[in-house]
Amino acid sequence: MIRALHTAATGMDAQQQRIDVISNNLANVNTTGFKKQRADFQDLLYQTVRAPGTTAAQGAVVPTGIQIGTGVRTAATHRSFTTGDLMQTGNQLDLAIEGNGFFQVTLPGGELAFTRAGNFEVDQQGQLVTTDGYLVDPAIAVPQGATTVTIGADGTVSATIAGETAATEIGQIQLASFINPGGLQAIGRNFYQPTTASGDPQIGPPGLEGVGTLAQGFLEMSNVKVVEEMINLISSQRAYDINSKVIQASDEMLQTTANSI
Amino acid sequence: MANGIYISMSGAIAAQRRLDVVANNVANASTPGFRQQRAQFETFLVPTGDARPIEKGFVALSGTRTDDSAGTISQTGNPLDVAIEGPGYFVVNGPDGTPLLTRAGNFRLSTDGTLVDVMGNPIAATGGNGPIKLRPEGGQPSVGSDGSISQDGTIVATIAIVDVAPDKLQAVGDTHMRAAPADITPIADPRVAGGALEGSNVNPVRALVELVQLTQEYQSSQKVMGEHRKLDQKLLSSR
Repeated sequence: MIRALHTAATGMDAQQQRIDVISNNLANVNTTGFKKQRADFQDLLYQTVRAPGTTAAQGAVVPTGIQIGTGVRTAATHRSFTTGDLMQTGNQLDLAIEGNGFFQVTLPGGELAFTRAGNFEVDQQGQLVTTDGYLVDPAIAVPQGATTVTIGADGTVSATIAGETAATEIGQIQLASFINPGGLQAIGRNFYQPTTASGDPQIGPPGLEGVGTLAQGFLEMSNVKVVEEMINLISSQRAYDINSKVIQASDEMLQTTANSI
Repeated sequence: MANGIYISMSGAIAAQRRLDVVANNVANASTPGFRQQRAQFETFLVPTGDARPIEKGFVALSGTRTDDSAGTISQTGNPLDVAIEGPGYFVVNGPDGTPLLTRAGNFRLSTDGTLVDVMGNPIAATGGNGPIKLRPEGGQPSVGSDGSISQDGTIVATIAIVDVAPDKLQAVGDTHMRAAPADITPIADPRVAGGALEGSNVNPVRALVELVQLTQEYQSSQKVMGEHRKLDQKLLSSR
């Protein structure tokens, strides 16, 4: 009975973690380039009281053994990198990636971070930066007096300066892709960093195999589906309820014993 | 002293065992590919030694059976989530080289492009020709309804799906099950859905009903034990 108490506790703990994950997904439903997560559960070890196929006392072979499980655990929080819906903003520095690539951003410490959020701005030196002011890598400087900035599907950035008719090319945005994006480590602020599980970034211009192309004037919304998350929330809550009922039943049974002695 | 009190005690212990099984099922209500277990009980008849053969029955847990009914399949849109429609199990090459079986199809890619499960164990392909390898720089993989996994329009490998009788399965944790190699038979034409994931087959209503039942059984057994004790007390005080 004590075993059932602990088993149900692992169940409640797991559902609580799942609700934590769901609430983070829902909180980021409007975060540009956010990728939803999912708690993946696995059952815990089994206590084999009697293995199947052993011989019973009467000489007959036991067809089914006795195995009692000990609960559940969260094996991983899996991040789903499916593409979110694209939203047209008309803003010339908003970029969306149609494909599996990531933008590269230089963090203040000098190391690279990767993001799907393409809501870029221009800082006081005319450099292309994220909303936090971090430089996009490779650095692209928009010249003073530029009226329009055009970014092609292949990442080529060109600027038209006031008074001139021809646009001048000022750089090309490079994208990075990972063999296992699920292995990336989220560091907040829409950024990811590579791990041994994600593999090293493979950097190339947009349009190269795997990385995808760019769409100017569009932003990628989060890939969170509110209805799906609500359903998960309800099922999680119900599972939590039933686990608490098991604890209640164990408690009642213990009480019966305690009262009868 | 009458051993009737031990019979009712065996009933109370059986209810406890059943609670352990229900607790594990309910804890795994949201575990992908989890198969619920059912506790089976049997009667032990003990001859009393009287001239007339009167037998007393004790109850004991005789086995836990894996329920192989299907869980609910939900669309996830994740290309590497795979659900088996109908019977069968995926084959996972365990860390010690032995094949493990699972219904949990939440796969992913490892650093070198191998299709692996949540624990990083490679998924077996048909024909036994090693793990399923995808090109790191290639496009989005997709899984066909026959279990074939293709990348950029060409079939790379076919995910092996095998069948085992439910009573031959032994759960080993991590949503993995084990069976003797002789009991494993490959399925020739499996039906598989890519971008979908099978949940557990735990039925919460059934679990709740079982909880009520077993609590009642436990309490009744306790009551009978109490009555036996009263009889014994009477016997002692009447001397």
